Amino acid sequence: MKQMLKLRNLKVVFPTDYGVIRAVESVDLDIGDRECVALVGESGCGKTVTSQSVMRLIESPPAITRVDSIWFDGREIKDLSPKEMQEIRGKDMAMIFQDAMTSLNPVMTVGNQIDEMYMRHQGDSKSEARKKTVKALELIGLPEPEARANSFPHQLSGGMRQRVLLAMAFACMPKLIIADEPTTALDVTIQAQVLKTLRGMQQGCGTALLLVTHDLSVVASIADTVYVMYAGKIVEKAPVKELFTSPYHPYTVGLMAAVPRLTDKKRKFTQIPGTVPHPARKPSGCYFHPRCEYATEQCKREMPPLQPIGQDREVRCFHPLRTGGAERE
Amino acid sequence: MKRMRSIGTFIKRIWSHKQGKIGIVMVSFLVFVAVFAPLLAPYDPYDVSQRAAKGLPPSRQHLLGTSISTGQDIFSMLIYGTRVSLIVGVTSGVCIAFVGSILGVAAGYLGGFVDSLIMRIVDIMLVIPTLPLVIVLTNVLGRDFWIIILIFVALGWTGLARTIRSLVLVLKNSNYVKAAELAGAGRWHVMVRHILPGTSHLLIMSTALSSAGIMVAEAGLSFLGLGDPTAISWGKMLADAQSGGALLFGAWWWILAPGLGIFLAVFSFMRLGIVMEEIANPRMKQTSSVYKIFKSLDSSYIEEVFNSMDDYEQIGVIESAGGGETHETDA
Repeated sequence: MKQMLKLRNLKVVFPTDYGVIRAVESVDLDIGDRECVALVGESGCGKTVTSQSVMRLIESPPAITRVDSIWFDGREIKDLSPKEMQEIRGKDMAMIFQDAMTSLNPVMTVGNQIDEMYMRHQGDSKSEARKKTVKALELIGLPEPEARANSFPHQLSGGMRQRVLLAMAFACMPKLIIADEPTTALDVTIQAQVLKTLRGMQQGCGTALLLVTHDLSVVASIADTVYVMYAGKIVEKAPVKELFTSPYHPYTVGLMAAVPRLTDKKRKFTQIPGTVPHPARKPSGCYFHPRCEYATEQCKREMPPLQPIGQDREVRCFHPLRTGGAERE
Repeated sequence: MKRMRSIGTFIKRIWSHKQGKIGIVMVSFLVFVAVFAPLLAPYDPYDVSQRAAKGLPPSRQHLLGTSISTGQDIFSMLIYGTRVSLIVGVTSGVCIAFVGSILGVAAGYLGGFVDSLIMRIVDIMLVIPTLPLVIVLTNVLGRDFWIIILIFVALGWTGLARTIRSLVLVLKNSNYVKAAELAGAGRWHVMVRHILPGTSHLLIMSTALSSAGIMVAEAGLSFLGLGDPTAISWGKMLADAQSGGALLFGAWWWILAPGLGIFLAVFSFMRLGIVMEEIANPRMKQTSSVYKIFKSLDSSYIEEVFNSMDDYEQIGVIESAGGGETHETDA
């Protein structure tokens, strides 16, 4: 499979008054052409910083970033000038944010905002751009696209606004879209609709998608490959089906066990004991060991490496769970 | 007790700021001079009987020379002038903050009739030309020192009240104010406990900045001969220098001294105001502190942190699965 994005050894720290916050610790990320990769983890585990680093949106100060390679669409972009980077953003890479209300300019009609994408990146005239905008709005399933294009963001519902963001992201047929918690602000039914649209658009346009989320149900419904992050490190990488049928890392197992299921009424859903470590005071050894029921002496001393296990899978654990872990409890 | 401590930390934070330190030192110096003026001044500044000492240039005897018309010691006048400037400036600044915040909060929070009444008064005050009004008022009410302060306050609160009102309109809709109201808090309680503290950064800054502004305005009034004729102020010194022909006779000290005084006083209050705003406004503070942290960073420590993030196997055993190129981390 052709590689769309190859991120190698990304490290991001934030120096603060309370010490150096280690937000992202040596993260590798591979996204294939037309692949949907999900980055899953709790709040503060570094998933947003990772995704924004891909677009080189993390500024210094406040952050210090070190990366070996950001290989995107056949070229190295880690040393591009801000101007060159600006050319790539929006055109080849696009971003969808969580909160559609604050991502859209409240004093411009949504149509004008999408028009700008075409005018800026494809050099279209205003009328050409508007035609494309209406078409894009139609494609993402907004009823009455001509009328909606003349609406202001506050006149639209939350789901409609999120769709407008999708239309904007897909406007220039980018090669990679980064969606940072695209459905968190929506209720569950609208969430399902928006995800369906997102998946449909992604497959229709042949775009690679990096989905950042903490919601495992979102992951299950649209991702191909899943990276699980914990305290700044990737702890497990697996194709989505295999991850859900047999998670290897105790943290992944814990996450799965915390999801309530309709089919299994008897099973209590559990929570992982303890809390995420403070990013400036991470524990020794494996960052997960204080919360892990399988932790040994070795786990307290050493950080396990990210090892390949089986086909297409990697896990950062000395004692990966081989059997279907979700049924263990 | 708690409030006292927070004021203490506030002053400490101003002190830890380089600009703030300059502001505090200069303002306390001015206050010191104003309080101990009779002890510091070598001559009686009101003494106009020294005919022999008219128009002397700066010397050991008269540090800043004497005036041409009456032979008053300029240095002593300068010291006494601090009193007028500080008292008029600071008193008016504080009073403006007081009146402006009360009326602004009342207008913004209570709304309705109170709001329209206060805001119509503000509208009217803002369109009245200030200088003619001041001339009329000083002639009608007299030119006493306190009356001048009263005039400054009466004219100065309007702008602040407008700003506070618009801030209060925002705060009023915040969830914590709604929560307080739903918990049964009375209007007075909400205004004093929840709304007023939200405007404090504006009040602190406006007090310092309007004090500085009023010092200039007071000097301007005195220069135009509208100030208190019996008090010695920097503005009046300038006016005397002008009418006494200081420029004609080349008595530069007579003009330079009060000019410097005004500059110093305004400068120090402005410094203090700007620093206080920076501290009270967290967004401004954050950026400045981030840059401070970056300046004091130890690059070798950061390098160590970066290196510690590598998986040990990738460093030790190159032929391991992850890929061996991760060595060149120090770019």
